[in-house]
Amino acid sequence: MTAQEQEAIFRRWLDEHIGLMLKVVRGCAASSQDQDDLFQDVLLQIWSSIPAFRGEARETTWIYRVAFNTALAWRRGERRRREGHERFVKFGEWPQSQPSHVASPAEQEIVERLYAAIRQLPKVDASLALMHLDGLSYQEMAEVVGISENYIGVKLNRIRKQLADLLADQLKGETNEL
Amino acid sequence: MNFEDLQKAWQCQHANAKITIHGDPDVLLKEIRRKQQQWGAINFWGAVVEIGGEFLATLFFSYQGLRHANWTPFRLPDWDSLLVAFACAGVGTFRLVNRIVQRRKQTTANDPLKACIEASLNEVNHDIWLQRNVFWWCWLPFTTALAVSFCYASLRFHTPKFLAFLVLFVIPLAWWGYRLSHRTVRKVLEPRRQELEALLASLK
Repeated sequence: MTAQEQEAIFRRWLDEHIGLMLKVVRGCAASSQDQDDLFQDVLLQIWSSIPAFRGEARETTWIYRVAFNTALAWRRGERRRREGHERFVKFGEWPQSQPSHVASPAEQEIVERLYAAIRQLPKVDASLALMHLDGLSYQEMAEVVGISENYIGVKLNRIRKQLADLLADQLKGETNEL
Repeated sequence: MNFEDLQKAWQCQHANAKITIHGDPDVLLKEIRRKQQQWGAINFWGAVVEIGGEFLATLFFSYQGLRHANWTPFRLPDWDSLLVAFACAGVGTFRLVNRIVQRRKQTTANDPLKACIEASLNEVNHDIWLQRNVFWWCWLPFTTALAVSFCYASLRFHTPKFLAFLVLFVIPLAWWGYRLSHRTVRKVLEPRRQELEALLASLK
């Protein structure tokens, strides 16, 4: 693969799948600085992985794998310790202040609550929750994680219940505060 | 609210979002290339520092051992320096082979999560084994060779300063390195192993 081909694929993926990458980042890191750190790592890994991409897996499956593997290996603040922190993506401004074309404020609030709940899940469960919410099939999730479809089903049942409990807890906490 | 409603709200986000990049979008690509080069350089120099030190020491002690030799029975090479060179070469070769073998076992970021977690766990277990046994594969050959060499030098030159250097510098250095390895296991590698085992357990 030539450098131009790699660059073209990267630009296209960035254009088409940026939402997917950001969902993984926001689901795994809480503060905007941590999100920026993780996002840089994800982009770097995706860029490095492109020469190995032969089109055998779907692009989304590939990107999910790279992003989740990067998120699992990522350590809070490690990059900042390792090198000077240089921000090139304005996470503070995105996506909160850049509302999507269809989401209502109520839906945006639900999404924020969901992110907060997902971040409380164990890392592997968080990755399954993110893919499930994105509507991936059991087969696709099994390809990303490397476990059987049956087990994915079992885990998702548990995760749905955990998410419901966490969201209920959040609401209860707010009601008590009022 | 049921799960389908949550899913619907979730899928509405970012539908047509574009990333906000400082300045030119090409900056992002340039930055990624720079970071990739930087990362490559960190890995390369890490390997050079890790392995190169031993091979430089091998060259130095080999030179020390061979420079006065004329290969007659009356003037053999300085065997004590060659012993240290041999120990350094052994430790360096061990490190190099270990690095090559571990590199071959590495997974890529596009492998399934479970395979990556298993590979990381194996890597951490191997690092723990290495650090716990650092005395046997690093400090014992190195300090033994130095101890023999310094004792011989003390006898040859009739001065205790080589022995003093051994006791005051080499042995404390080896002890400090040994303790540092065990501290790394305790503070860094063991927590990482537990974390990876928990991740793997959640997939079984």
